Amino acid sequence: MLKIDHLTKVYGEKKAVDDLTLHIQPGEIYGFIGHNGAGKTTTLKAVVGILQFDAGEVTVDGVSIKDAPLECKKKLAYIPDNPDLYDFMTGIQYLNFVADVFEVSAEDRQRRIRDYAEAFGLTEDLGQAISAYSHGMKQKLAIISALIHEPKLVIMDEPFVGLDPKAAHILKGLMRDICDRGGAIFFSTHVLEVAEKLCDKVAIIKNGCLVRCGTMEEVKGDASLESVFLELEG
Amino acid sequence: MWKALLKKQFLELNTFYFQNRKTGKRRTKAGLIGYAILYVLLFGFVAVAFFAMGIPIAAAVVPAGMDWLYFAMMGMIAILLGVFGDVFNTYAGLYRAKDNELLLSMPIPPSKILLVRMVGVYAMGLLYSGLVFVPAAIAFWVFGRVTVANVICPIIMLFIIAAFVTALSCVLGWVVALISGKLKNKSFVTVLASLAFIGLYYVVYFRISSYLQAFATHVESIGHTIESVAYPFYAMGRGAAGHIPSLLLFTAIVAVLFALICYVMARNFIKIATMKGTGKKSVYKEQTVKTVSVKGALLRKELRRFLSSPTYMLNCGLGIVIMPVLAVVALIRMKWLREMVTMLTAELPEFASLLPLAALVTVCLTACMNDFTAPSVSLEGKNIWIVQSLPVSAAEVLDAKRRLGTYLSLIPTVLCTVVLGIVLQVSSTAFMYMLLAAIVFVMFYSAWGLMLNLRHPNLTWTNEVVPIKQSASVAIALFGGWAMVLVIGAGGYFLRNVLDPELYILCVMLLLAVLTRLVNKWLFTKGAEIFETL
Repeated sequence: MLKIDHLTKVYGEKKAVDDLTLHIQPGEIYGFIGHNGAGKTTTLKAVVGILQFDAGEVTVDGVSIKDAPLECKKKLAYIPDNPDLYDFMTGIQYLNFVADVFEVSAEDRQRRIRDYAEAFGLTEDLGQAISAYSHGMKQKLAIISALIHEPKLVIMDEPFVGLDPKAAHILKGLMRDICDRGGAIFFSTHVLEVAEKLCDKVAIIKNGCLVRCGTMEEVKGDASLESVFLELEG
Repeated sequence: MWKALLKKQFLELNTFYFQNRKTGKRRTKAGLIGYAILYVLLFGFVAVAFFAMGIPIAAAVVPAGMDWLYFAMMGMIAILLGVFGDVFNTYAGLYRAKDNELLLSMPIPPSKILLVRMVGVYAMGLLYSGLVFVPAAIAFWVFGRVTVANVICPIIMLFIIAAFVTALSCVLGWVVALISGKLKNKSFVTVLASLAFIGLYYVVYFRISSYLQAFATHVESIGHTIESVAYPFYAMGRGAAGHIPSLLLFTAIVAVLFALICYVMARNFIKIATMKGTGKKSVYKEQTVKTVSVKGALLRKELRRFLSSPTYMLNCGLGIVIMPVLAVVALIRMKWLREMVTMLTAELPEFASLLPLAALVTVCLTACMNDFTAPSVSLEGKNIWIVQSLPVSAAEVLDAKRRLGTYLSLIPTVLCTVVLGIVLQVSSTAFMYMLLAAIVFVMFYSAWGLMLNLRHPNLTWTNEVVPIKQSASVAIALFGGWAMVLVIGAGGYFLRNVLDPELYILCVMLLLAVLTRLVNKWLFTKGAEIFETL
């Protein structure tokens, strides 16, 4: 579903991401962990086509993000670490804007908005201006907007930050549903317990370089993910 | 504690001058000197204007021995300007200060936080009212007898007036905070109120000489009215003119008012400072959805952005209002305008052929006030990830911005051009050229503004005022646009013997069309590349 091959991104003289290679198969929830400034967000932004990279290749479902960015973007969804949404819109206006851009039919979007908003307890607030939303509400809206076109691949940067326990639980369920339907999830997190329980595979990045990746068992063995991570971090 | 709080408050005020709000870095020496010169010029200009205003009032009042009336009048103007300038500072700095919750969480009595913030409000009030009262006092010294009392008393009075301004600003700021919390359609109300103020300003500005004349002929009755109806202002005037008991009386009145307001506000400060919007929460009810095309969705998004911000509407869309007003005024004063044209053409026959060009220049100068596109890329700010991650090309995003700029400006431009064409009775050929040139200018201006913003983007702002009012792209678009239109006008004038003015307009239109095509080509190739990397 997602192939990252030899991805390199340089800021000035600093290599933020250095020759990173990762392959994510349909049906996988792939966790991406690393210290602050390790290059996680840079990688995720490069994957979704927000950030142009210096070397390497990224393909989504066999399509290169460099050669056909729009085709790739139609298949994926992105949830950033900080949900800066359009404050000048109401929640429902924002969802309709995203749905219009993804050309989601009226029936499909109405049903999905109803279902997801109900699940996240956001229905009543959809008529409110986003500027009046709390961080958690914005995060929920960003999640709903990301799922409105039924993406094959969902890229999430710290998706659980700001979510209440119920919403976090619902999101985990949705992530599993997407993968069960043949989709894939690639997300970064600092919550290692969540990564350990939720992910099929995990990658650890340090100073822009991939230091370990594979199935959860391959990466952590008998130890906990936390101890492996701390050991690798030195 | 007082010292620490005051230091923080003045640091906040100083930051405005010493720190570049765009980069957060301290200004360079050259920057500081530049800003100092700018402020001196700006304040100097306002002060000179009030000095010039004070001279005729003093000339009417001082010889009649009513020194107090002069100071009462100028004092009231100082209070008006002070409150007007200070009330929004009060709202932002006192009730909506970002560190209110931080300070309230510390072991500081709310009354102390309030008083320290009021020191900031007082300093600004002193500055605003001083801009009127200091030149007014100088104008008085030019006309009246200079004594120790009437030199010292106006200076003392200025500080008392500033306290009065602070007290009034705090009350009005509170009202603004309350209304702001409850108001629906805040943007439109703000825009309407601002436009009403601008209209009122121009009415007063154009009639000021007749008001001054009326004042000069009714000095005594005005004096009696103030004395009997508004005694505190009578005391203020007398006090400033050197009457010590009146000075003390006015000081006492202001002190009581100030103390009362401080007491009431200190009791309610926590409530006000932590007040959230109290407007009724609108509960969403599912409605039938109408889908729109991708282009339509992007255009609608741009329109919503524009309509959501009074700052954006007032600073980059004023032409939308001014052009219809210009058209209506031209229709109302049609007879007068035609007489003027007849008179001018009688004196200068060649003016008749330049009339369509003059009308076109007027329309285009006003259309330059619709510089929506000049800050539109910067206004994406932290939200830019949304359009960058969606399956829309940068060219489509830019096109939506360009189209909105063109659409919003086009109708008032066409209206204004048509009305001016009819009122000035230009020939049908000239009328057609004028109209086409105005339309092409609007198209060019929208594209050019966008190009400028792509070359000078700023996505790191925290307050939208920065990209709208303080950006290079907006300044270049506005002043560059005006310069370009003036060059077009001057070109037509100087070439009038070589090229028929009507043909000149046609050439201008063709040139603008070529430029528009080139700028659009740049936007959708190089510009789109820049947007993708922002």
